[in-house]
Amino acid sequence: MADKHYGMAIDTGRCVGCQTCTVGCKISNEVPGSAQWNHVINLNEDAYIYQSNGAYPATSLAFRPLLCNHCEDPACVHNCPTGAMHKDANTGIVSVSQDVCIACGYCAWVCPYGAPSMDDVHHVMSKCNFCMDRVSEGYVPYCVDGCPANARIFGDLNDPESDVSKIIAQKHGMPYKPEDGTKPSVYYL
Amino acid sequence: MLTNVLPLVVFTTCSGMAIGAYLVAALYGSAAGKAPKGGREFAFALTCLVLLGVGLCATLAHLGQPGRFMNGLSNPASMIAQEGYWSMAVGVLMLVDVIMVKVKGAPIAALRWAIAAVGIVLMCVTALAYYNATGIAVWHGVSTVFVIVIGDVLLGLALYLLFFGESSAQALKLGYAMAAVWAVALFAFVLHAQASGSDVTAASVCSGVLATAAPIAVGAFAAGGRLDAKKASYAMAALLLVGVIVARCAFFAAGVAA
Repeated sequence: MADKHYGMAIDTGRCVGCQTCTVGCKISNEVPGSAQWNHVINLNEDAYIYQSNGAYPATSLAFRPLLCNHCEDPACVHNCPTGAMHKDANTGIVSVSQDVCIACGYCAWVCPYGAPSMDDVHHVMSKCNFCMDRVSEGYVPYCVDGCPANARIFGDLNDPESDVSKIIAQKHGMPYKPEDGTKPSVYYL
Repeated sequence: MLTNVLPLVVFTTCSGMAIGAYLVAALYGSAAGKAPKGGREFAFALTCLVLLGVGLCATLAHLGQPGRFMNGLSNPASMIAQEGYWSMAVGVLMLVDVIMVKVKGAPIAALRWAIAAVGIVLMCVTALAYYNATGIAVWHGVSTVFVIVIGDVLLGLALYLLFFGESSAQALKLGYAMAAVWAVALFAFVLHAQASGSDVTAASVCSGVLATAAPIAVGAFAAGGRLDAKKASYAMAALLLVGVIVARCAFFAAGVAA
């Protein structure tokens, strides 16, 4: 087992769809070109993002922020022909070695979440790395730090006493698309 | 979108045509003891080798970092790397076949069968590489495997007919049968695409007309004596080629644009 297994819980009951995570990630990580490491969709994925669901008067509007799920069994890592896509054994964070990547795009095709995003400036794949440099210094990722609704909780899933582990247990957090068998490390409440 | 789609269409079409042609040649050509007349074996083998090379070169245009393409062979578990390994294997065997045909004047049956066998593996690996793309719903269906594999056989048949069609009535018959199977594969793909939110109906109908209905009509004309075998072969080859390419364009556009 890894020393740490970083993961995230996202409370869809708190998310207001403000896109601060999307913009904060893009600016703070200086994500180049049209690449996006974070985006937000309607919780009903067949609906437009700001379209309410249900029939009046029982309508609702909820969101699903998406990012790399840093899966325990990541399809991108298994299918990357170069080995550029890799999972850190000590943290569980999945990241890409851009100096090895050939930018074939296959990781984005096999990822159930479409998380890898092509850096069309440097012509290599890019993706969310849970802000691993910040995390190694004891901070939380930018998207967690910037969320005005405190909808994101980050921490070590191997530690049962961490906030993220406790809230996933208390609120019965569920991963997105578990049927794809990649064992995601992001849970939705 | 064209820059994303075109290299994939060229790769799968050219390499599929080359390996499909060897499969047909193994079944109905010299390898089966039915050496077609005309002495075109060398040109056939060389054309297949060149097509495979063109297809592999086209994959470089798909890469953001083509200069690092050797890195793409590093992970044997990856379907993309496996496509590379099997492509190289079939390429080496094709090169040996070209040399043997040049030196001996006729192909070696065992070698043709070996190329056909490795080619079938390459067809399946290519098809599974797209099937495994779970992030692209329109490709993640069993119909993908049939569209790619049967498409490769039809492309190979088209090339084989261009070289040897007039002397291989058996291959023409295979054309009619495969054209009918192609229609079923296309129908399955249309249904799967609809279920996954994509519409490939127009292109599939077009492909079905070109690669199924029209070749069967050509066959009927030929059987009725209104079209000689040579013209029937060329007509069927052209129809199969264009029909499969139309379907390939629709297949990749639906996936990459999704």
